[in-house]
Amino acid sequence: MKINTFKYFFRDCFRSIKKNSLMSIASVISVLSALVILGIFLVITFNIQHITSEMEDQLELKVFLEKDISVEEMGDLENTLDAHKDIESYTFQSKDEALNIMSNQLEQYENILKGLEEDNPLPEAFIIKTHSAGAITELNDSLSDLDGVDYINYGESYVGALIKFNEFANIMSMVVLVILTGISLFIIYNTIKITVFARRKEISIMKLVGATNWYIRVPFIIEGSILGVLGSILAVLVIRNAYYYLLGLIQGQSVLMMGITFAPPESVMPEIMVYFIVYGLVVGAVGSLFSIRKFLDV
Amino acid sequence: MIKLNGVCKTYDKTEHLALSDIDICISKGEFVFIVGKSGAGKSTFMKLILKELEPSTGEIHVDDQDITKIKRRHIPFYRRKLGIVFQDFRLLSDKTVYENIAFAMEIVETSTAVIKESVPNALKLVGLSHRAHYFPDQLSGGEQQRVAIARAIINNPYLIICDEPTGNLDPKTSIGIMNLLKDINAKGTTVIMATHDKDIVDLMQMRVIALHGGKIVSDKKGGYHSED
Repeated sequence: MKINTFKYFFRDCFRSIKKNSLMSIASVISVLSALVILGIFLVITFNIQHITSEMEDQLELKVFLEKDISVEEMGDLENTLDAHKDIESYTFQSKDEALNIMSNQLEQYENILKGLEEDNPLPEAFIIKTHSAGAITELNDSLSDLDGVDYINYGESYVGALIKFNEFANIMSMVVLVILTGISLFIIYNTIKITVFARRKEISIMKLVGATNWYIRVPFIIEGSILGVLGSILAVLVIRNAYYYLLGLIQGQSVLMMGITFAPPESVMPEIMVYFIVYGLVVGAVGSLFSIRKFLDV
Repeated sequence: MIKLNGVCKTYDKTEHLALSDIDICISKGEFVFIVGKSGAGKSTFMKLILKELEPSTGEIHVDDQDITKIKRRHIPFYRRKLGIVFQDFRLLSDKTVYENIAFAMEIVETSTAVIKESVPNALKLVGLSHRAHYFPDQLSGGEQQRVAIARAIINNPYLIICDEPTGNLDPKTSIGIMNLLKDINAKGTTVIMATHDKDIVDLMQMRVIALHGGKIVSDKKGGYHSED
């Protein structure tokens, strides 16, 4: 096709949006409302992911060492930890450090703890952070049999519950995402279909004067994409402002937060924006392509 | 140039025989009326030529091409060689008179320079130069039909198909439209016009093919409206 032809396409497309302004507004609103619902859900999903990943970050594996661990065994153990792919970082906690932490946590038993300073019974330990919560159990199994390791503590039941919750949340978000995407697709497709139906006469005239199907389709596809993207940009703005507003409200109520932090908008919004704009573009274009199909049969 | 051999058309749903055993030969440059009452098969005949419908049996040759063998995706290219005028004008309401005519050239990817030259000429021919920037709903019925004719001739078709072009017009305006079609025909373009307007047919004194119940009942040159 010639460049001139594309000039005609854009001219006709903008004119048609203006002429069918009511239907154009309806299409934009249908994309907007479908995406706002989807957006609310996405923000919730991102926050669940954010909170669980924060919880995962706090997880650690405490490898307590035998009292009489030899220098060689210590060296071997450190080499193993250095080489392990699941370990993000680890620190060594000496007996004195362990006691310090304990006395900080149990200030009211200061006198009892004082007696321990001379003959500190607390074991030395490696405190390990893993890349993911899922690796903790496996790491526990592989480290517990090593020489010099007395026992390992990692809050087995807590980790298990967190992993299960994570899996559940991931599956649920995928399911809801697919369902909501499907529903919004259906709503948008039908709105476009009504728009195309209102212009079926125009399409039949174009066909009778010899326009090819693609010549008729392209302006509709451009129009659908423009309206889809417009709806998605508006949805991004609505979600962004609502999220900032909500965070402002919640942050004033620190008592209710219980140490939970929310996903920062600057990390959530770019993903939502890309997803929405691609979604608006594709749904607008594909919706137009499919809804026009029936009327091209002249 | 237009030849129908043993053409029958049955509509699938009703099994009604809309056209039966039609054999017609129309030469280049002829002006032919297709007449008959409602349901006689006029519209079916026009739709077959336009390739809006496929015949159940038989062959249809237009410009030495068997159009029943044209593939779906090539239909638009076939239609571009025809000019079509309808009873209800079928103009694009969101385009001006100028743009409606230019549209027929845009779809065949004519250059802007040629469009700018040809459209005013066509408008002059149909006497609507002063209405170029009007929208169809700002025009009278006769004027709209003139725009439709200008659109039909803009790509220099070898055949103009008119389906009841005067059906929505008053007698005086109808005569104006017929004179316009006669002028176009005089320049060598074949015109096939379906109508049941007896006065127009009698006035024009051209070849008249009369249909009744899907069959040809009369085919006379310089004729008259034989069946009404």
